[in-house]
Amino acid sequence: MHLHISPAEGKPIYRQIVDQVKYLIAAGRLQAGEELPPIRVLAEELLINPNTVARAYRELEVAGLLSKRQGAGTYVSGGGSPLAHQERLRIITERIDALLVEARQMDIPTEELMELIQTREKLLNEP
Amino acid sequence: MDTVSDYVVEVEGLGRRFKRTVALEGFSLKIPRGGVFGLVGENGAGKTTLIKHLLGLYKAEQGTVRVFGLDPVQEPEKVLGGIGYLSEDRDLPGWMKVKELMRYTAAFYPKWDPEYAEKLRQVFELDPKAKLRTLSRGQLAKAGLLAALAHRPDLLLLDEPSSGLDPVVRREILSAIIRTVADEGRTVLFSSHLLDEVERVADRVAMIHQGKLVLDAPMEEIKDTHHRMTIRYTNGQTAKPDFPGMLSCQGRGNEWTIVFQGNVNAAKEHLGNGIEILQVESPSLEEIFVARVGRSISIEED
Amino acid sequence: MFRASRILFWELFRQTWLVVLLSLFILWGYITFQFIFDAMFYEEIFSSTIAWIIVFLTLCFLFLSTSKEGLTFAFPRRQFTLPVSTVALLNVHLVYRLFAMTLVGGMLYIIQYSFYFIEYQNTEDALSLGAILTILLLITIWAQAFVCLLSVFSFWKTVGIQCVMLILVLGMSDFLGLLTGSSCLGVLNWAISVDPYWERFSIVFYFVQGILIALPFWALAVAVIRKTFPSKSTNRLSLFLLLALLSGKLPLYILLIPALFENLFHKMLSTSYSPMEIFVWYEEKTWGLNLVIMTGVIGYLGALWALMQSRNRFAVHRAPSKPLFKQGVMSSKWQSEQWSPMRAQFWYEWRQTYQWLPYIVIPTTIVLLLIAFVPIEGTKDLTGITITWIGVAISWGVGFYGIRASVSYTASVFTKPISITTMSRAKLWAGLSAVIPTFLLLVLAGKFILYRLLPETFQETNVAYQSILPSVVLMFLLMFGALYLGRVAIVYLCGFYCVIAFIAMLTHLINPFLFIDWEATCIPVFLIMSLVLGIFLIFMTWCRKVVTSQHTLITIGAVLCAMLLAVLTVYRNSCFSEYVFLNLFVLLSNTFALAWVPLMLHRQRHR
Repeated sequence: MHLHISPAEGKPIYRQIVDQVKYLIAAGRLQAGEELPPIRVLAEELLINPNTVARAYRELEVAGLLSKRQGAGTYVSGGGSPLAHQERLRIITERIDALLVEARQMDIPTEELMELIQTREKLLNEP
Repeated sequence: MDTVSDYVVEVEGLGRRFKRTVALEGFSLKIPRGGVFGLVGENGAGKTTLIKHLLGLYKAEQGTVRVFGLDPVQEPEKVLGGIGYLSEDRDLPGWMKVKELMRYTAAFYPKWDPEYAEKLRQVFELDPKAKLRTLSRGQLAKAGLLAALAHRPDLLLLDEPSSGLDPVVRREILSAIIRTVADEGRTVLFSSHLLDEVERVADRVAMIHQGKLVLDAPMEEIKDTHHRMTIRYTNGQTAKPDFPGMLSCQGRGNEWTIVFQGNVNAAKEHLGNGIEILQVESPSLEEIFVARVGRSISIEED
Repeated sequence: MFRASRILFWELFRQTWLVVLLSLFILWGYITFQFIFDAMFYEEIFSSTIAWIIVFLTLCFLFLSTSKEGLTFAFPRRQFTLPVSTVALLNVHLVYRLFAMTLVGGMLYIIQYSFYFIEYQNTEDALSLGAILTILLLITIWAQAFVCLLSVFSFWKTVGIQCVMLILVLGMSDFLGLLTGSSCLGVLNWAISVDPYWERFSIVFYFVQGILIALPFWALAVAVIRKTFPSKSTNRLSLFLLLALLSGKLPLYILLIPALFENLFHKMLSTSYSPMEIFVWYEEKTWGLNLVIMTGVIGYLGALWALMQSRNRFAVHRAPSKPLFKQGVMSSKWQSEQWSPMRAQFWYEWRQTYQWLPYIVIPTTIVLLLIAFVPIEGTKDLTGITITWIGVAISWGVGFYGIRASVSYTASVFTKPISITTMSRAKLWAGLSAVIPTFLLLVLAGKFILYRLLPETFQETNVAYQSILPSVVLMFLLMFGALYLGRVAIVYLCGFYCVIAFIAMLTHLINPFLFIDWEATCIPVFLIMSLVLGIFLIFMTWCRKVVTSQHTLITIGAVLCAMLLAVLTVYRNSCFSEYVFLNLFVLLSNTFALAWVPLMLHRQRHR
């Protein structure tokens, strides 16, 4: 699990952790049942306050993405949870929004954009 | 060192002048036990003066200073016994060798843990036979940190711990802070103008500006209550927006970026109808700091 | 370039003009004093030595400069980054100091002259202006070389390099001597002809002495070469030096060192030279002038070389410490041995400041003792006293340096959880254990030399060395002066004698007949004043509760004893030796100031 924290971004650090963990789960890079590093270890690794990590874990727990086993650490909750799917949708929506805004600024009509997406997809599928 | 108080440090109405310069004025601050307390301010804002008051190196001219519930001037031994201090100018005597420094420092602290000290020395890669004079800046900072940490102080005071150091040493110092605070009940107070660092590690932040406390709140609260908002006037107005809680405002014409403290909706109400809000984000600590300090400067200019 | 040099000159002037002015003022006061009190001071043998000591102290202060670590003798590194060539940099520093020392030397000449005039109505024996300036300026150049070397090398390496330079001087001067006609044999013959003892005490004595002095020189020279140069040239250089040693010429020079210096010393001190006569001197003793010129040139070159090293290899002594080190280097022995706070603080004080006093004074005294054994007619009466006073002067220099270096503790000391009482106790013990053995050695050495040189007049001149005793106490007080008074320590102790002088003047104005016994008249007044001040201070520390009752009791006891003894000595038959002890006890009565130590530390700690 690799997270990247940047205080200069402005986004609160615990939020950055929450978002990135959500992203990792959604992208499948964190599998269900996988153990997350203990708070202290993660704090030292990211050079952030342990309390911040604790808060992020708590938030993720409330959202049902993580579960704590008594005295045994924090684990990713069972897979296929609706939340994970919602999260995936949310992330991709964000990206689409950004794409649309940029396309509008560059004067590229949506139809052309759609065509472009399809062309790219074909290219990606080819070996 | 067990006291009833929940606060490690209590400063009440502290005032201090150096000849004509006012270093601190009507300064009140309480630092709760546990956690990391970040002290930010420009150069000469009074950070070092405050820290020296906590150590008893300055006597309060006005107001009171209590550390662990005691007056550091009246009972220096008791107070200093629980403090680990890394000074800004690393004033360790250059003729001492690393092992001599460890031995010398150990003599004063009954709680000194030789094994922990040795472990720290190895982690910091300090040659025990090297004289402090021959050490590089980073190594000297690490030696100072070793002397401050090895007796597991209840309060760790770091004055500009990372100024002038390379990123590698900065990382080591930050991780030492994190390790310290991870032990229950220990408190770290550190001053810095690297706000990036402060934002990473501090639970609570106090901003000093020209000897006065500008802001003192938990980090979360600061992040939650400060906003950066980009607005555009739709009614052709071009005047600089102004409303209570606004800290700074940049832009020209009809588009302005405002950093303010308070509720977004309340701000919207203040600004009236003829605007469009383009973006609301949370600013970084650095932006908040610049906004606050910049504001007081502009007020003075007026 | 010229502009930059001028600014640097100005900076130096700004830093040290007060010292030069003060020293000129003191020396001037010295002359006037003698007219007021009608040569009273000049009955004593060591009187002109005091003037010399003032001059040497001035020299010490001229080389002090400020750096990040406080006051230091090292060359100010920050000037290396200025767009000024190294030669110009050195020239500015050297020219300024030579100028200042010329002023001071001129004043010294006037003192010497008037001293001989008043005392003997005969100025022929006085040192000439040329001789005084030669001595002073050469010392200045070598001191500059020392300072420059010190900014590159450690202390002992610097001493070693200067020894090598000395050997170079002796070798080179004779080389020039050969060129101008006087051969090595001629020098030897001359040395023998001047000194009648040469025959009696035989060459064996000189040989042993020469070897004794030469051996450490050689050890140092080889060590310095080893450490300074890369291995290849080291081998070549040490081979060269070995060859030179084996060739048989250098040992001769080396065993001539004592003879040369004694003769030079003797000549300079006992014969008068007018500036014009310098040329006669030159004709007579070509080698002497050669020696002077070569000493100057080698000193300058040494300084220049060191400065270039220091400037170009900026971080030469800051070799990065090895990243790899043996694990488990720390033996469990010293880890388990826990120091008490008092022990640790004592160690800190000793290593920080006080160790320098014995470390410098003891070897100096031993070397001076060795030199003093050279039996030469005519210098007897001066040598012993002068040598002892040089020892005292050196220790004063060290003391001043120590004071200025440790005027205030850094925060790293004050933030240790240690009580003020422990701190001041550690400081006092460290100071005592440095001052007492050192001065015991000096006093014994002085006494020994006197006995050795002047067995027939030992009793009469014995008193002269006793003048060291007050200086012991003064030294001790100075070493702590900084502690309880900060930077005004020196002013305080000067003021202390000013008060006595003032009361004496007043007495003289009111009743000129009392004037003969002025010390007896004014000292009681002073004692009463110091008693009042002492009681006040003790009361203050007591009120602030920064001292233990033990400390207060000891201080009060010491003060009362000293005063009692002082008062007792005042009314006894006042011959010279009584005045020595009187001085001593008056100084001792100042120990009341020790009561102030904790208070001052307290003030320094909690500003």
